[in-house]
Amino acid sequence: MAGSDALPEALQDALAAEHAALYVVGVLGGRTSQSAAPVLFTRLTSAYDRHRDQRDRLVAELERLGVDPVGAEAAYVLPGGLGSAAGVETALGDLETRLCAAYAALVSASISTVRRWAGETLTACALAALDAGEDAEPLPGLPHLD
Amino acid sequence: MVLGGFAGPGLLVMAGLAGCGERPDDAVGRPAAGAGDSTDDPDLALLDAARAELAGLLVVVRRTRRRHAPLRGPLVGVQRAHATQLRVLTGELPSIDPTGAAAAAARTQAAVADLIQREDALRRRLTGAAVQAQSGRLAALLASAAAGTAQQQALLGRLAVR
Repeated sequence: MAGSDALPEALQDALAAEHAALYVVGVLGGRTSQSAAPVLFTRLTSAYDRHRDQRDRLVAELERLGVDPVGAEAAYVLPGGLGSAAGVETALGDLETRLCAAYAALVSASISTVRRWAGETLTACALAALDAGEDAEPLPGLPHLD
Repeated sequence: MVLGGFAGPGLLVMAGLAGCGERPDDAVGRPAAGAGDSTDDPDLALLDAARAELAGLLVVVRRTRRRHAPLRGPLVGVQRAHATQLRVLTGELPSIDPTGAAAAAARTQAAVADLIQREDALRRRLTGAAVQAQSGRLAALLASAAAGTAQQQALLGRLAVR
């Protein structure tokens, strides 16, 4: 049975990824015009809310284990090409795709309700990546097969 | 039954998951000491069930592509995705009994709706199996397959509203 030893590390890795995601999505939102690109703006708003909820859940799980949650960095390296809506969408898709890997690792390291939540969150990130224009993958979060 | 056919892409996936589970040696499908077949190892039973589900859906997708010319192109990705998932779970594509799955629906839109329903059912079963798995690596593989199935379901949904 997977479980206790690897769990805090996988939770911390996912939390660090969520901190970065929140920062980047916030920047993407700031560079997107609500009037010129309303669909993308709504998608970014929704992504921000979802990643904030995911971050909070990860913090709660770590606190439940008696582990200090890793904090956010002051700033993160931003992807290039953010001067256009297409570039913003690509950055969002990349970010969601990377998070799939963090949640696949968390599925592997956890059991029961945390594993179920991690699996559902993996699916949510995979669907968000698809909505942002990424290609569908047979096995999101796992290494490429082709 | 021992998962002996874990070759090619499957190995790559499992190698990529190294370090994700609590047990460094919790290889997917590895039978517990003394285990002889899937009745002894619950993970092997989960694998067998997931393979059967995927194989059945693949039959329906192939039949739908044959029966509905407008869907031949759009369903290439669906077929490819599930074939890859099955290959990873099996090590190779098994021969599939064509009588073992339901026929494709008669009307094109009904066929798409039917596939969406089947994708949803598969996603739910894979998600449930991931939670039940003893091996963390198998759990990740099944959860990932569920996420990939959700993507195909979403793409079929776009097809349905065209």
